[in-house]
Amino acid sequence: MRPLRALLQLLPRRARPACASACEACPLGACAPGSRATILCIACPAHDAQRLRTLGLFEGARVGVVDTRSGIVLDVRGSRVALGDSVVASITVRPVGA
Amino acid sequence: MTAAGAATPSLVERPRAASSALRVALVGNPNTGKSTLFNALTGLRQRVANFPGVTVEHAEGTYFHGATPVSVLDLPGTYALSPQSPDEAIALDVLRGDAAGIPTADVIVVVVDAANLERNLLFAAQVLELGRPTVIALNRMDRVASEGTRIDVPELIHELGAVIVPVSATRREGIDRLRHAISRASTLPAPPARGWLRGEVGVERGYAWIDGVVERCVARGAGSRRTTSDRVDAVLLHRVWGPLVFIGILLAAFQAMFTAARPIADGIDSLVALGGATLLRALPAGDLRSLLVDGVLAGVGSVLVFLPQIAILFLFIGLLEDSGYMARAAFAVDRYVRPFGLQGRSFIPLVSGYACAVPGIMATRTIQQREERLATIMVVPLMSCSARLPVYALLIAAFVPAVRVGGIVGLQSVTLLAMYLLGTVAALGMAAIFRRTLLRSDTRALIMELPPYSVPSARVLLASVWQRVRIFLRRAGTVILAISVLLWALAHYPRAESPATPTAEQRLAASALGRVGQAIEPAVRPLGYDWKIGVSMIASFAAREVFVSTMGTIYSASTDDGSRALARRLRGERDPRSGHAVYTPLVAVGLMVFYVFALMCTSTVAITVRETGGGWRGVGWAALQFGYMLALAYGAALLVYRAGLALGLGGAG
Repeated sequence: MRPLRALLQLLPRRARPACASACEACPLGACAPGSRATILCIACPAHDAQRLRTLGLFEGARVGVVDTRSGIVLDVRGSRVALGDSVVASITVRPVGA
Repeated sequence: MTAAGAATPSLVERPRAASSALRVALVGNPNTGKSTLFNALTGLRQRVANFPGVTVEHAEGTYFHGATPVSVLDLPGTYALSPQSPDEAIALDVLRGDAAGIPTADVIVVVVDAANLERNLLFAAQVLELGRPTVIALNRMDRVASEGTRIDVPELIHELGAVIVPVSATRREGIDRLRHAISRASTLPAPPARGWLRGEVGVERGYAWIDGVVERCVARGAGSRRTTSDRVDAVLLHRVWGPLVFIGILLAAFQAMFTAARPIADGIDSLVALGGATLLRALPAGDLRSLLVDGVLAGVGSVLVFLPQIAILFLFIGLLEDSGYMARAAFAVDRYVRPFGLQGRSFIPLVSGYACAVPGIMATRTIQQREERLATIMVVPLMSCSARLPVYALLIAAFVPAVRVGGIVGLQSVTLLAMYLLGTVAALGMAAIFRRTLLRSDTRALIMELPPYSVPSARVLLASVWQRVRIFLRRAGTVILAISVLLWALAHYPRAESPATPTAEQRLAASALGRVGQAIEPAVRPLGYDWKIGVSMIASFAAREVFVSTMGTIYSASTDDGSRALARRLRGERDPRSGHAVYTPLVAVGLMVFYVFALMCTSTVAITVRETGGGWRGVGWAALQFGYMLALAYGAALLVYRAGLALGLGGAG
């Protein structure tokens, strides 16, 4: 039973954009201030992901990078959202434009 | 309006008895100007209370629309109807009518920031889903206009299928129209509950829908306030400058708490003294006079002197919150307090603790997460407050030689600094322990909205300061007064029998308090104390500085001249049995360490009871706080004394 359960946990609960296979994917922390990006993958604990989602941060959402000096400040749907380093590390994005 | 509405007879105005108030729940995202709108609607007819059994607070106010009283419940700011904090859970319960002890609202008013429809409309749409009579207050229309943005309100009404009233709470525009809409909404059929925004898929679907709505209804202007806000943030979110600016602002605030509060506190003090003197002259000497002067008046006085500090701290916190700076400050210092299980918003309560634990504990209201808030409350009293200063000052002046260490720094000031450091380190350490044991919770990642900077409204500021002051006066005032009177009675009864005219010391020795002091002497012996110190310690439960005045009473020495006379008496005190000096520098240091840790403060206990939820739950937390601090104090004082003796430092008196 146990290996089966472990296997089940590996299955994604919902279809998500594949982070690893997207060739232009990069960690959110690598984005420069002033750049824009589309969120590909959020790999943080469920309760944090839920908070991010209500603020408008979910897979497929577009964000602007405002400040990267301490944690990160994002432009999300016109409001500024500050994220600590641990959350930033769990988010993968695809930069938009150049 | 809808099929569901047409099926019910509610299109006819429901009769409302003049006596029964129309109940309105005010909800919205944080930072939408909800409090300002609440104030504009209700004026100063409002009160703050806890929801039954939880530490979540709500404000309630009333206004009259014609002859109908309308009672408005200001619910905590909420991002979505999927509760992620106690605040949000309560808001949802109230909206659904599931909250125990809170009647269901007749009308829900959703406050929406017109300058940020992209995010705010999600919550509004979710509330409309509930299928209850709802009015949307489109706030900050003045800001939208100044940015040159145009919102097609009729189109928005069409898209949302709801009553929308554009308002500007800061300019008090559209308030009457909102009141009218609220009264009308209670008679209209509610929108149908569809439920297409439920769950996590719902949130994403909702945002996609909002993108379309915003595209159709909003024509963006060029001038965005965001650029100004971002420019300010360029300085305030700097890795080095950010925390430095914050500490600078805090220093200024605490300077104000000490200096600006001082004259007012002194004024209150002299008023109390004047009242005492008047009573002394008007009444014959006796128990009644003593009760009124030493019990009631002294007790009330010891409460009132906290008022200026509380008012100033809350004015300051209100300024920081309403200007939008608080979120930045919390973000800037978060990484430094996170290892101790605290968060950026714990910082202000902790630092306020240096002035007084009471406003510090009240200031934990800004911490939304329950465990983090409770942990902060539990450790705030470990920060050495201004009431400990007289105790430190007396003992240091008496027993720490005024020599300079290395020719530069005075040993006395080093000792004082050491006491403050000891308390601070203990506070952080205990917070870490609490957060890893009793108050464990999932570590929540730092995710916070940084609202645009804005000029706070004086009305809202004053209303919030007034609410805090009133809470303190009413709740803590009654408890502290009762305990002061109780302590007075314990210190005066039963009377000394043997000498016809007993001295102050003999009177105290014969009293219940004195007997308790003698009874606990075996307990304080290991710390090197005699019963007199024990009595002063118990008496100081009313307030720490009472330790000094009780010692003054026992030794019949005036404490007016900077306690120098008392310090001399203490140095000369001998143990009647052994002839050794009672107060050695070692005992004094042990006593100071005891006061660093011990929660000898009725006001703090009273406010902890209230702020941890009140009732038996609050009493439990307060008892735990008092108990662990007492244990810590006893253990540390014992350690200092025993280690000192072992090192041969005991006889240096």
